[in-house]
Parts: sequence; structure tokens; C-alpha cells
Amino acid sequence: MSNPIEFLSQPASTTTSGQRAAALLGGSDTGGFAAISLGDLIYDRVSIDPQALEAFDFVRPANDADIHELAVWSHHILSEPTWTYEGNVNRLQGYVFERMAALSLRQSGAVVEFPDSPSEPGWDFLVNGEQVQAKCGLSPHLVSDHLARYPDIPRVVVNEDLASHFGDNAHIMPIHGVTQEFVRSTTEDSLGDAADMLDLHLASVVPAISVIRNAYHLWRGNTDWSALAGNVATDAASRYAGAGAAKLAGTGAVVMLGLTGWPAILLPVFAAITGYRGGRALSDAIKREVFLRSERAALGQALHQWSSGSQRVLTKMIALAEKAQTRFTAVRERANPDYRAMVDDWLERLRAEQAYRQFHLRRFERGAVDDRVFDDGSGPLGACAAAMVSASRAGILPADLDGERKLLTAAIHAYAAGLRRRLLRRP
Amino acid sequence: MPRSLLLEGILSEDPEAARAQVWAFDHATVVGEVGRGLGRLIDAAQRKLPLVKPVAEIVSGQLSRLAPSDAVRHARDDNLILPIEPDHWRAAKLGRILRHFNLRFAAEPSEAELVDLCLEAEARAVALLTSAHPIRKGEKDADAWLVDGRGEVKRGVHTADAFSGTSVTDLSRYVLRRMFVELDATFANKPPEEQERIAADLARQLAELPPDVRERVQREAGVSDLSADALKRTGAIATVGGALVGTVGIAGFAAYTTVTSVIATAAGLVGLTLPFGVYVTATSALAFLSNPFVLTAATLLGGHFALSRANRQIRDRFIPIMVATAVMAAAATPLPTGQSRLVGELARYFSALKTADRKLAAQIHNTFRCFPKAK
Repeated sequence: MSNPIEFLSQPASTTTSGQRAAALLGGSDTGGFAAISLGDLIYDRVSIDPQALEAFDFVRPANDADIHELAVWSHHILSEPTWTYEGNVNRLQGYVFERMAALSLRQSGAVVEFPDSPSEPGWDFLVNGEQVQAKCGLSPHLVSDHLARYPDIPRVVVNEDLASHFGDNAHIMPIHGVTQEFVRSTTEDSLGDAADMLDLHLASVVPAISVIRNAYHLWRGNTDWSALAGNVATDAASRYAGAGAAKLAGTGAVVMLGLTGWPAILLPVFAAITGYRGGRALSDAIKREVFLRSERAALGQALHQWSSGSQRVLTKMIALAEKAQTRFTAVRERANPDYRAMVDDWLERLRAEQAYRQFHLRRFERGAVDDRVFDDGSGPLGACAAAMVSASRAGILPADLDGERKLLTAAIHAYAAGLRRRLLRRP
Repeated sequence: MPRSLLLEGILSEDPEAARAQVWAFDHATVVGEVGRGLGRLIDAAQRKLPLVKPVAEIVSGQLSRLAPSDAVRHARDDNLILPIEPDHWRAAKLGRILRHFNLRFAAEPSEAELVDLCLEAEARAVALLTSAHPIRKGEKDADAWLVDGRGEVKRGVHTADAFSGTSVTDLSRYVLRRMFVELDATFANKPPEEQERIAADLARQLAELPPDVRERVQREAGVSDLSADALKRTGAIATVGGALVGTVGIAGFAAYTTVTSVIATAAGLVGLTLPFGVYVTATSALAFLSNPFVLTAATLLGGHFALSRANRQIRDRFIPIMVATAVMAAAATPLPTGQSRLVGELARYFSALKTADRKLAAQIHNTFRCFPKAK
């Protein structure tokens, strides 16, 4: 807003209801954060390999299909010490291989059935009614040991790497295209994707959005290089703090409420989005109070001077009007009784005008020492507009306060420009 | 001292019209609107399906809530102070306008502050209408019209939504012309026999105007006569109504009375008692339909915040009408003298607050709504 006229003649709301709704929900950067967070969540979910998911559910049948529990379980495995982690992955990759093998066999037309429990001794599933063991690894001992221990279960499905060691054994069925490395990476990736559903990557997403947003506004000319670093740092820190704290609260609420499944996944995400929005308010407050403190102080000073000037002019106007009142009172005494009613009407009007000036004088007296007198909650710019309108209504002409007007106009301009430069939106 | 047309109009307005507006404002809520929407649905069903009439009559009897004809009963039902007097209804209307714009007395009411608050309310009403009906760059519509700063109608310049005025007088002309346009559309949807009756009533009211005013209306509206047959033509109510609004300042209170009566008749209710209270049913429905986001949020969340916001948006549409009718009344009457009396009444109730028990204090706040918050 470049000048007070524009400021004074603005509509109550310059936006459409859709824009106001969007602003209420946080504007484009909160929308961006929400889209990235929810998009990442969806991406993580669809990235979990279906066979790995089946295997994980098979291993933990009590919590089958609880996506939140799967994410927590995966996160727990990934955060364990290396030796425990290796052991778990080795165990899990066996189950994942079973599922891959079963899929491959089903695709070739075989009938595959899994037992109710994952701990059947010597066999993993039934193929065409026969017990079959699945082995995934690099060493042929895995198969030889099984055959030695369970000679009555000779059928073994193996990964591509093991198959070459048992080329002449018809009971050893290779699963082509499935290597040990592939199974392991699928297992690890799926565990990572499932665990990622609890992680919103705030440390990378929030600063990235702040940088992009500020760079866009720099390109549009709404801000400049000197403000860029401070804006990015404040935006990123405040929004990160807001989103992080809210996510923590959301996670706590999940535990306290005993939520499971998708609600338990989504609550921290939506809490983080709300916190991100709150972080924007915090960032704006910091920018107003810290980065724009000199502009704000100058505006306050200019408003005080405007109030003092208005007070001075009004005092003079009241004194002059009092003289006129005294003159009219004297006229009334000398006037023909027929005209007294008319003079009384004039005096009544003068009295009302004086009362109106006195009312504004009292307001300006208070305004000269207290900024909040003209502030109806719309901020310092709104208070300046109210003070200017108030002076105009009291009959003060722009020429009466020329110096104060120039000072206030310059201060309004500087503060409005500062707000746009820092908040990256029209004040 | 600057003149406040809003204040002068409030002091001149018919207390019954003010009462109807107070009632309509208080009932312009999401809940009230849903009830009225159901009422309209039942009405339509009755016309199309005669078999549902007995059931519909029972239901609509429960839903139909026009402003009670008994002013005291209305006040009592709505928990307003008793006995309610003509000045109270005017003050109650003014209090609602001020409160809607977050304006209230800072201390004991004084004439000076009252004038200042009314001037501020005028400015905010203009700003509100500018927001609600902005001119959008590049929009043109050959059938639409624009009321410019002087109240002139320019065809084919902008959309009908455009409001480019800067004063409360522009607001008044704009709002009243729009009311006639919308009432004209309502008229077109009424059954032929009802159209016949309404047109005859309108023609009778227009015939009661002084001949020079009638001629001016005819000339400005571009119609050869003001007979019932002429009024039945599409768009006639809008053009005649618009022309009639333009005569208020010149023809005085007679034209004001005719305008209010014509609006009441076109809205389907004869008489001056409830002219604008009835109109809100049409406009708030539009507000509702035009903002499905708020409605959906209010319905789904049902939260206090969402409902308050939705209620406020409905009242945003009604407030300009309340201001416009007051301004029109100010234009139609000589300078009113009841300002001091109104302030005196407000000051009396303000003093009563100091000694009032909780119930009376709540009633006083509920009636006038513009006193400072209790500390």
C-alpha cells in the first residue's frame, strides 16, 4: 500500500471468500507443506512392496493390517543396533522371499498355501499339497543343512544365486529373477518406507519451502537480497518449531487416546500442518517486533505527533468557537425576542459542535501518549487510518497538519513497504 | 459537525419497520435460514403435490416464524427489555448495526460519540458493500447495470454485482435498486393469480403518489403507464422500483412510504409492518448459496466459530439493507430532532447497568448491544 488514500479507501476485505478461506487455512506455503507431507505419506505407503507387506503382516499376525503399528515396528527395527538389525533383516528377508516365491509359483499355475503360523518346523508353505522349504542366501550350506536335517522335506525353493549349486536336483526349484540382494534391498526399503510414514522430514522440507517461497518473492520484486537471509532463517526456524512441537503433541495424543491405524498416522501429520500455520504467525510476529522495530517505532512516533498536532489545532478551534459562542450569547441578549428562538438554535448547534470537538480532543490527548487509542485490533496501519479519519471528522484540514501529515505518510509508507518485504504479502 | 445520515435516518424511521429489521437481524442465522429453507421447500411441495398439503400445513405451522405482530410479545420472546418503546426499537436497530461493525461506546453514551460511531459505521458499511460486490476488471455484461457514484444506472458497463459508490447515499441507492431487481425475479416465479394480485396492489400504491412524482417515475422507468398490466411485464418492477427510489429525496416521506410498501407487496406481504424483515429471507438464501464453503464448514463442524462466521456472513448481506433503509428515511424527512432523546434513553439504560442484576444487565446488553463491555 503505497499511500494513505489507497489505505483509507480500501474495502473491508479485498479478497474473495475463497481467498479468505485459503488464507485462514494458512495460504500457499502451508498448503505446500500440507501437500508435501500428505504426498510423502502416500508415496511411502505405495512404496512398500506388497510381498514385503504380506511378509511383515505374517510375522506379526496380532497386528495384521494396522498401518500405524507396522510403521512403529519398522521404525523400531531400523533404530536397533547394527547386529540386532542385521539379524532381524536376515530373518525378515526369508519371509519376504517366501512371499516372492509363492507369487512366482502361483503365476506358473501352482497351488500355494501358507500355514497359520510362521514357525512350522522344516517347511514354509505347501505347493500343490507338498511341503516346501524356502531358502534365500548366497551359501549352498543353507540348502544342504536343510536336506540333512529334514530329509523327508526334499522340496526347496531358492533364489537365483543358490540355484546354480543344485542344477541336477529336480527338487530344488529356483525362482528366476529373484536374487538375494534384491530380496534384501526390498526388505530394507519396505522397512524404511513403512518407518518413514512416521517421519515428516521437517528438517529438510521446512527450510526448502522457506527458501523457495522467499526466492519466488525475490524474483517477483516483493523483497530484496538484504532481507532474504533473515526472512529464510526466521521462516524456517519458526515454522520448524511450530510444526515440530505440534507433531510431538499429535504423537502424544495418539498414545493417550490409544489410536491405531490410519487415524494414528494422520493425526500427527495434521497436527504438524496446524503447527506449521502457527509457526507462520510466530514468524510474522518476530519480523514485526524485531526486523521492523525501527519502522514501527517511527510510525508510533509519527502517530503521536499527529495526535499532538491534532490536539493543538483542536484546542485552537475550540477556543475560537467559544468566542463565537460568547458573541452569539451577547447577541441573544440584545436581540428582539422574536429572534431569540433562532439564536438559541444557533447556540444549540454551536454547543453540539463544541461537544464533538471536545470528544475528539480527548481522544487525541489520549492518542498522543498511547498508540492503542486508535487501534481497533487491525494493527498500527489501521490505527493511523483511524487517527487520520478522526482528524478529518473533527474538521481539521490537511493544511493544518502539513508537517505531521508528511511525517505520518512517510512512516506509513516505510512500515507498509517493510511489511511487504518481510511478510511477503500485502499488509 | 459532520452529518450522519444513518443516525438521522434511524431517528426518522418508522419504529415498526425498525422492529421488523431487529427481528429479522436477530433471526438471520444458519439455524433460522435452514428453517426458512425448509419452509420454502414445503411451500413448493404444497403447490406441486396437493396430497402433501395436510402434512405440510402441520410442519410449516411449526416452522413459519414471521415477526410477531405484538411488539411486546416479540420483545419478551427475544429476551429484550420491557416495556419496549418506539425509541428502543430504533436504538436496538442502531445498536445491532454498530455491534456488527465492532463499534461500541467507550464510556457513557454522548451525542458526540454517537455521531462519530454512526459515521464510522457508514464508512464500514460502504467498505463492506465494496468487498461483497467488487468491480472485477474486464468483466462486462450487456444486460447488467452499474450504479455509479451519482446513483446513475449505466447499462452494459459492468456486472450487476458492481458497486463503485463511495458514500452511504450511493450505498442506499445501490441496495434499494438491487432489492427491486431481486424482487422482480421473485415476482416472475410466482403463480399467475398471485402476480395479478401483486401487480394490482402495486398499481394502486403508485396511483396514490402525487401526479408529478408519478410522471417522473414513468419518465425515468421508460414506461408508458403504471397500470397493473404494465407492471406484470418482465423487469417492470425493477425499473419502476429503481425510478421510485430516485424520487425519495425529492418527493419526501410519501415516496419513502410507497417504496417500502412496494417492496413489501412485491415480497408477497402487504403492509408496512414487515417490509424488510421479509426481504431478508430472499437475500440470506442467496448469501447461503453463494458461500457453500461456510455452510459446509458450519454444518460439518457445527462448532461455535464456524457457526458464528456463517451467521456473520448472512448478516453481512442484511446490514447494508438496514443502513440503506435508514438513509432513505433520512432523505425523506426534515432534520430529525430526537438525537438528544435517543442519547438520553441510551444513557439511562447505561446508568441502569451499574445497579442492574445479571438478568436485567443481560437484557440491556441484548437490546442495545453497543455499550462498553462489563469489566
